Amino acid sequence: MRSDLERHLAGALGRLPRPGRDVEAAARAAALAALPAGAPSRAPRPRALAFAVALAVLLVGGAAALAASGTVTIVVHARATRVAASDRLDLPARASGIAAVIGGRLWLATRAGAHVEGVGADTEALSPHAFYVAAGIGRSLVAMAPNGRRAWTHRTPGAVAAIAWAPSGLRIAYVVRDGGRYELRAIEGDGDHDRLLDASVRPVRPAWRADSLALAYVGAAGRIVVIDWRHGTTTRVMARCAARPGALAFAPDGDRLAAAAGHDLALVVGGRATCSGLGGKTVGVGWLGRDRVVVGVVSKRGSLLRVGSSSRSVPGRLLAFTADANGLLYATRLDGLVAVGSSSNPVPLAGTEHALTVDGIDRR
Amino acid sequence: MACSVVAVAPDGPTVIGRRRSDAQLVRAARAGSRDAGAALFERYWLDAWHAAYAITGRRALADDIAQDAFERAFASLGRFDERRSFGAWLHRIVVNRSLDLLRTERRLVGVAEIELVDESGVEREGDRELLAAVASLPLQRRVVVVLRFGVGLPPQQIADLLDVPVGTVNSRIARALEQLRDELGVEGAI
Repeated sequence: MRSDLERHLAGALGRLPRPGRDVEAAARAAALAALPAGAPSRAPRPRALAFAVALAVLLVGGAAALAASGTVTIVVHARATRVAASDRLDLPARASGIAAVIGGRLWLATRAGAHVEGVGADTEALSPHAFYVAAGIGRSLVAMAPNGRRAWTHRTPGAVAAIAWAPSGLRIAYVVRDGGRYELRAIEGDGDHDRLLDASVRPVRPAWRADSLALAYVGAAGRIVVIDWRHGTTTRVMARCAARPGALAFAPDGDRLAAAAGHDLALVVGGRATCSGLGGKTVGVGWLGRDRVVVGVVSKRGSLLRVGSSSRSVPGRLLAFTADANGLLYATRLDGLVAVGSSSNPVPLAGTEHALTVDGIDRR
Repeated sequence: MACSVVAVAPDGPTVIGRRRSDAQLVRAARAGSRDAGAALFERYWLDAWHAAYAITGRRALADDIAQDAFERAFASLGRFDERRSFGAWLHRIVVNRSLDLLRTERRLVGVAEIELVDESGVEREGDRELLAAVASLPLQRRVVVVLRFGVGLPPQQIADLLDVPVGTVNSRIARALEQLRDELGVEGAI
């Protein structure tokens, strides 16, 4: 027989507040989308689209000062057949290199003349200054010097889906598949002290704040989560328009976070988001200096790079881009090839597309 | 086992609909029925959210945990053993995820403030103090209190869910109630 306290407990816990209706609606939609295939109402994923993604969205890399003299160009083979997890370009500050995972192989070139050609990898990220590249190779996270020498290898429970090197170079955040889920982990830049940050996340590349003391990532439910070690807080961004972003980028001063989510650009300040519709699917997000957010948009009318109210059309289909105060670098699929274009600050985004050959990286 | 929803009219009860069992809904959802999936969602959403909220004490975490639990459960329906309780399985995911997140946060950024008393909630006299006392319980005790008195699971199911002996569950419940009594100044035996 229950005591008064037990009855009171049952009553009080039964009178807890209810979740918001928008939260419930979002959760219902997400849950139903996770149901096993087989329902008549579930449309099969267009294979052609998946193949196109597999074929094209393989360009990842880093390059800095590309807008300055000299160019490092990367060659992307159009016959890539395997999806790489990489989904955007890196542009490590003051670095001078570019890397890509193409068809399951890593290609890398730096201004110093070092290069890696065709090492099997699923995803990669260049360190600041392009001193090292971290790559997901099989069930390992590997740090390599640009000449291909392995600095260290760390065993992982599954394939590495995304890597983000902290601007300080001292830490690497990475998303790794573990069974049916993805987990977010962090490891020191020397390969030590691997630790779990979140046991269930989405396979989206995390974003570091410039001081390397905060990390934004996409949690399992698709919401942006910010761990701030400086202030000892974790923040979840609940705005619906900011849910399930595909790309995140902190502003250089670290007080704002931009997120490209579906057809929206969300600007997050202090856990609150303001969103604006972009009329097309967003492809990456970045900051051109302190205050200008650049977002890639792909719609039926073509591809655009938008900075504030101005925009520049991109030939072909925009695949990925990256930006920093030095300029902008983008990859576009054009006539079956992937081309890399660059543009310097400030906007308008006048840039050049580099002609590319196949099966290697040319340095000119 | 399926049960019926019965309306009592002046001339006697009339069966107006049949409530499908969890196992039936799971089978249909596994075959891809969105209707069945939606029915399971409606049946357990509030419980799952309340459990996550009562354990973590934060709405934002509860939102994430409950949604994540449903996504995981639905994505894994193919591996679900129909002889088991879907509700218990779902709550297992909710509890594990709640504990994961709280422990991770504690490790990364220190102990977070638990605020189970919500201004927007419908409260009766004494609820506020009681919920504040629940929020101050150690995590393991708070979990069993929520599962026992919030979700209404029997001790054996809680034991299965937490992978601990049923005696441990009973002991945690007893200590939690004792602590609550001490904090609230309530007298009396369990």
